[in-house]
Amino acid sequence: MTKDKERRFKIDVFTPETLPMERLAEYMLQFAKLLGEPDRVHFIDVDPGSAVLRARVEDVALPKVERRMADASLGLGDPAALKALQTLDEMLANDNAVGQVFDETGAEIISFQGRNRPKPLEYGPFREDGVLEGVVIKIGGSGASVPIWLQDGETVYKHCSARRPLARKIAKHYDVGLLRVTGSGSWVRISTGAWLMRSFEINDFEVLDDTPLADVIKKLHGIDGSDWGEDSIADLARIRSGKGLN
Amino acid sequence: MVVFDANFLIYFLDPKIVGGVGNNPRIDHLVATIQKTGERIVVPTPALSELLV
Repeated sequence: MTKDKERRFKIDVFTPETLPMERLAEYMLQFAKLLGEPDRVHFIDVDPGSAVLRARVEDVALPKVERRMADASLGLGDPAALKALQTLDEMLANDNAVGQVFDETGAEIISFQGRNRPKPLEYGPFREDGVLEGVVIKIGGSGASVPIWLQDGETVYKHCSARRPLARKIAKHYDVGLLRVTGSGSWVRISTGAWLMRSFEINDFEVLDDTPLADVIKKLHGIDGSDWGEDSIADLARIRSGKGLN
Repeated sequence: MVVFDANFLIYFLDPKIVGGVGNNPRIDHLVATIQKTGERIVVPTPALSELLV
């Protein structure tokens, strides 16, 4: 008679009939990572009723699996198990679900808060005037306010817009040249501390000069009346130290 | 993004500096690299203020 044990992961909002196969696979992957011991843990099936993923843990691996889950639930142990625990909780929250891990007798080992966990603090939205720079990579729409995408390097601002007359002018610069747009943005501060731009209404723009840097420096050098003195670097040092100044 | 303080910005503004732009391989290489990569140059307000004093 086998001494293998079961570990069951229950998701309350799904049944085997309603649980999408791809989502099942994602849950199985994270459940497997939480259990660890990949060579000694085997999938059995999904129980009817609420979706219950059943895994068989070989007797020899049970102490390690138990220790791994106990550590993870305390925020200790293998980072991979901790990550799996957090990911499962995230997935449950996104599915508006809660979950539990049971043993074969029905005793609860881990409880996932899922949808019941405290909502992360988010501030805003706040409206503030601002400036963005980028190349117009998408523009067009049917409403009075025309959606515009600006690309600045790897960052793409997808929530910009402008009134139609201004949008027509901006459209002439589609995919050519760097624009600096000014306007009013709506921002929220998310739980991680990062600021996210929800929208940006463009009020004006200018085309940035793309003169080569070396030519710009020549122009700067040629400005009359700059009068830097004989040793501008020494002047800077004097300003900082205060020595030699009246 | 690169940030220039007053110590470096002065090379862009004062043509009389010995070993400045056009006469300093290291600075010229930096200028060429910034031009090539399209890197953005940021001048902090305090650095600009220092030069305007």
